[in-house]
Amino acid sequence: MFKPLAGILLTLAASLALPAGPSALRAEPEAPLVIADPRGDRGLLAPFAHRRDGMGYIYTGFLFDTLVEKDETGAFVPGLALHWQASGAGLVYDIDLDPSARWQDGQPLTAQDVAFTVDYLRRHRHGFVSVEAIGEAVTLDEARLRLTLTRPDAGFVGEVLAGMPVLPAHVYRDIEDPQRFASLEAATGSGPYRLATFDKAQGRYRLEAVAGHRAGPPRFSTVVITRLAPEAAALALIRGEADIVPNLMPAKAAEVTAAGKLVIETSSGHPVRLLFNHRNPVLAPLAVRRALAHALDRQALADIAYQGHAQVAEAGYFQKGSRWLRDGGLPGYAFDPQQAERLLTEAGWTRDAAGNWQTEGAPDTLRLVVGEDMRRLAVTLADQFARFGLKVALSVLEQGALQDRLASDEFDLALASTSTLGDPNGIGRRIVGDDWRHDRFPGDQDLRDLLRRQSEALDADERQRILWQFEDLYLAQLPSLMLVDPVWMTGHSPRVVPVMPADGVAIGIPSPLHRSLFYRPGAL
Amino acid sequence: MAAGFPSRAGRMVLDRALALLLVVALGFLLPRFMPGDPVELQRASDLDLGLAAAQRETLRQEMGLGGSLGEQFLTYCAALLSGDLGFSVAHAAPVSQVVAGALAWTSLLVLLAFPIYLLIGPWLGIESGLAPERPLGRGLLVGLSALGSVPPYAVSILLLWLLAVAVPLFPLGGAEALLPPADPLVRIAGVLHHAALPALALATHEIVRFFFLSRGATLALSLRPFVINARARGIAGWRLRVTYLARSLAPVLAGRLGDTLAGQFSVVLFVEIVFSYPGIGLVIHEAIRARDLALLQGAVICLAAAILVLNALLDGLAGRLARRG
Repeated sequence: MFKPLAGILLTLAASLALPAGPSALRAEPEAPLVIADPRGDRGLLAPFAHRRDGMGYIYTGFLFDTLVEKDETGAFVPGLALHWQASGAGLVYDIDLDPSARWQDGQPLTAQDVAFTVDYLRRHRHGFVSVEAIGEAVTLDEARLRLTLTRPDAGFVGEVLAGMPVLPAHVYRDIEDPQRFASLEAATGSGPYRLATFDKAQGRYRLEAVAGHRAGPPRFSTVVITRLAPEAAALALIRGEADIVPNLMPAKAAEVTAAGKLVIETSSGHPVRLLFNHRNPVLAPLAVRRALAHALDRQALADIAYQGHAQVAEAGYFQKGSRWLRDGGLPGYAFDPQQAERLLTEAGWTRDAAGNWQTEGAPDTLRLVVGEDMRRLAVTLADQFARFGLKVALSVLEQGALQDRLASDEFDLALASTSTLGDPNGIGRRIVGDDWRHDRFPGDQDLRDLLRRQSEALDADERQRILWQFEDLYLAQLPSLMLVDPVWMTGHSPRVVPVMPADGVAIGIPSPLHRSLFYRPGAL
Repeated sequence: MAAGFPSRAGRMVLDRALALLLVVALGFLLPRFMPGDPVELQRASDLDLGLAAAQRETLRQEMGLGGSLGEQFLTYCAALLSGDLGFSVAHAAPVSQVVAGALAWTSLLVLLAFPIYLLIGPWLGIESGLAPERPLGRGLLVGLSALGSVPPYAVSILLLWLLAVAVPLFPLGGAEALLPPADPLVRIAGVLHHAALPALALATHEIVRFFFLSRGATLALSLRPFVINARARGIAGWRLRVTYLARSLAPVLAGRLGDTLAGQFSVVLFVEIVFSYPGIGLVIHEAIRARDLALLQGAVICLAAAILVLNALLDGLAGRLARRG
């Protein structure tokens, strides 16, 4: 009696319940390289339009060449520039361009394009690269130009020559608002891939290899970047539907390897730090910050909060993965409650009848604010403080509320994770700058002098020595306390070998999606 | 009656217009009371070099945050009246473009879910209502009561695990294959294949709602003389269920559809997150996280407008069905 209805439902079910699997994906003769990105849409892959995060910058870097590149070890190798030569006490850079370089629309790439890019970035802020150090960009001929700096800059090659996406002057010349220039034309670069399609709603990009790229054709004729939820991304890798899953869920690692796929683990270069509110007089005395450092068992924090997927952070500023990290690191603040007690007592703190620490003129509870992603670490940390007799009021906040609390100084302690990779020129911004994300440490003149001197030290050995002096001071003055360095996992198929170079990709992005996935930079 | 129709229609339009105006005002105000600085939150990475004061002010203007709250509202309304929903700085795209792309996928889910719950819910409800004391009727009551108590998010995860992971009949997520085929028919089949599971998840709660609605109405109708007479005359099976019961249920069901559609657009948020489905739910979720006010406002207004229009149509339909008897 219900045959018509049942028939309709059965037909519908049969037509929709097709077996799902990799067959459709692998139907092409040469399978594309598929990157399943749990975060998805990074915006249009153009230098001013991509989302202001590291992965958006990396994906855009597949389309836009830079003058200098990093190889798999992190060494600087030729990109669009075959040679670059510094002279005049580091104030003059002569650059010889690769004459075979072409834009993806077939136009030749010339020195005028580079000079135009410098000028354009001066007029239009680029989120990740500043050309403030360049006083003048003069073209010498079609393939040569001279950049004159206003001051010596030890990070110039790493930050500008290897970080600045070179723009096509013929495309961008008349664009007054590049943030709103979001057609596919805006993604015309000189890199090994061109943007064939971008489906914004689905967070999906299809990149096609540029046949005439100066370094030869890349390994894969097509690269697809697509948004998939973390669990779905891991399963797609297991089933052979995806080749690379950045930020693989640690819980899925065993399943992935059991399926014959590979997992690489890298230090994040994004250590979690305990931030102190330096505007709060209670935390201003160095002895108090040191006492808090000694009260924490950082190994237990890593073991409990990350369940083996983190290591104790290096005590100094530089972390594993940084070329500036000294052998053996620095001895940090060991877990030593007695020492913590001595220091707090010296600072005038006393214990109340219940054994909790208190000090005159201050609330007896410290406010700890953290983002949702650090809930577990924060709970573990608050528990350790409580055992030591420090009462902590923990607030786990969504990003906007967290920003509000940090910017308005409504906190005593906070947890933050920011990159320690890239050129050391960024350190000053992170320690003594006024950005709510960072330490906002007043810093004494010695610290500021060291930060300035390292940025001007053109000799690598000298710069290294200055940076180590800075690290000693950083450890002694405790602008913030390095706690743990999480391990990041990337799942991949045997078709590719993701590599994270020293100091991260390009400007210091901790990701193994280095261009060596496609071709060997500098191998011309 | 004929004279009353225009005024009734006029009132309906006026009511909806007022509701939309209220949504515009709320959609404008509420995001501005959320904690956090929308300009700062655009900088998604600490690698970002930060903004100079002038650049910060420019960005603030671009995001519609320049001037007093009143000025912002007037500017926003003026732009809205000219059809400009604003520009999403985070997406580097006009809001209308982002919303249109997402709303199309959400509409597909809502449309596919529509026949699923509208057929299955009443069908099972009628069966249970006709035989409330028999094992089938009681079993349906227990089973659907249990299903109704599971939150939509959990239902989505359960369906995903069951039909995409344990028995991989359906894709894990997304709206279509990673490399869509060139043949349009095959591509459409692929899109339906991807939408089937999220649509089923979306429909599940409504199946339960329509089941209970239909079951209760069937129990009441079974005591009405025209149904008793029909059954006494030997009318049963398909004819009894469709001609006598389903037709009588139609106005009640249509009356509930307006509310259902509004609910569907709420539940779709969870479904889209679980299935990585690129609809309006995901867009709103990301806009809230990134404090993308222009996008949030635009998405809420478009969604509200769509719901109000559908609501008005369904109200009209329910009224006609009720008057027809």
